[in-house]
Amino acid sequence: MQDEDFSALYAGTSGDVWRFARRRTASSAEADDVTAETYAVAWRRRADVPPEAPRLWLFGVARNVLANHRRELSRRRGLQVRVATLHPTPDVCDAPTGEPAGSAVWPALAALGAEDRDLLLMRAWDGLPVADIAVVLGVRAATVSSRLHRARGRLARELARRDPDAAGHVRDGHHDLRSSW
Amino acid sequence: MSDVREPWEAELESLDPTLHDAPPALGSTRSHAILEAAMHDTTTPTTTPARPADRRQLRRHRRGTWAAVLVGAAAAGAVAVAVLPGTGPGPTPAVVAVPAAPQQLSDIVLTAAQRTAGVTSLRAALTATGEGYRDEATGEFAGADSVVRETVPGGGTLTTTVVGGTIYTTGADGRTTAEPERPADTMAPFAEAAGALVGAAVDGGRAQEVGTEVVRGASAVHYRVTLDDASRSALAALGASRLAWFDLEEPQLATAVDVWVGDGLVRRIDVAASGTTTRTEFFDLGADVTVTAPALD
Repeated sequence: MQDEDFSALYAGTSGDVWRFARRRTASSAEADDVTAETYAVAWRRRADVPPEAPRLWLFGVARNVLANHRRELSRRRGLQVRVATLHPTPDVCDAPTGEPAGSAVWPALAALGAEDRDLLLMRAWDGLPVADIAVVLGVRAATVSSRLHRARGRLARELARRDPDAAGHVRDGHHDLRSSW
Repeated sequence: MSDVREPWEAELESLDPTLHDAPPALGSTRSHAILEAAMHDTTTPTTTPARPADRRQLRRHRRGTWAAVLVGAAAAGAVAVAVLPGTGPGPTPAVVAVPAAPQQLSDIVLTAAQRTAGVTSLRAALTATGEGYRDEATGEFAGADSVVRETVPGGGTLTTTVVGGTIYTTGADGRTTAEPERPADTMAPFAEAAGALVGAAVDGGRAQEVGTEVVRGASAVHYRVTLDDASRSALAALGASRLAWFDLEEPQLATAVDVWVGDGLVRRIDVAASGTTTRTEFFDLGADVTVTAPALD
């Protein structure tokens, strides 16, 4: 892949990759970093980039970059805790910008396992069909279907548990889903 | 299922951070900086062992085989058969060649679907074929218990075992976790789901005989059911617990269901949907199948 081809790849996909990263980070600046690292990996591995539909391939790379990013954050937090043994910074972040007051979905989602959240958000936020989620995760579409089915059930149960009468949503605190993706 | 939206889905979508936060515009300083940082690395490009997702992408270049199979099957001679009333699952070959009218074709397929739905133990091979990729799994089913072993692209096996209301997941690394299976999580019994799928498709769709073929060493008659809106609605009504076995998360995207009937039972089902075809082959119907729980770590 030549420089101009890579630039064309970037022009055609960077918006989607940045959004994929932003949905899993706490700020635009972090999303910029993850996007840059994703394309740095893609540049080093440019011989591997599939010419057809490279977007999902880049999402797969971004997931690995995000995993490394989270590990690095965790190490930094651990160091901070060791340095400041008293009153460590709470390990929470605000919910996404624009979360409606009283939203019950976010804390319910936070209560699920990471795999469930990953599937539900790839579907709801990234708009990926089951077949594409399967490509990103490297599993069969049937596996995604059954896991998604179960994840939806678990979220529905969690919502019902928190609001059995569906008589209004009560937000019960802040949760940083991104820290466990 | 996607055609029945839960209230929380719209709420979740409204929380998407990118509704309020846009990516850097192409040509902007930020965008340029990201690209510059990426291409700053002047090392020789590497070709690393492909991860699973990569391999699936690479396989997209080898598409076409599946279509050739179906075209070849469609070109086969039309030998109409009717299945004599069966006596249940198992090796009961009883096939006689007779002319069949279109409605009879649907009845034949429907009867096979109903008989298959009543099978409580069997084995199956499951294949998903997409744009240049192919994934494979095998399944063993005994009543409500099941084990599905999926070959993970890139190596290893992912095994999902359901025994006595507990779901065991064994990853490619060999580690096994367990969790109770809740009613809302429960997949429909496999054979029942298969029978329901075929029944729903043929009930509203139009069955057409393609020809006699060999499925896992035995003769079977291939029927193609062309779907219409009514049959897609019937499929959607089956629910995710049945459709997920066949990658039909979005039944409205299904285009055709091909069914192979042998000895009065469904022997193979192909489901074609947008971008994906799944093939499910049924064997050892009625055999003694025992599913055991894996050891926990």
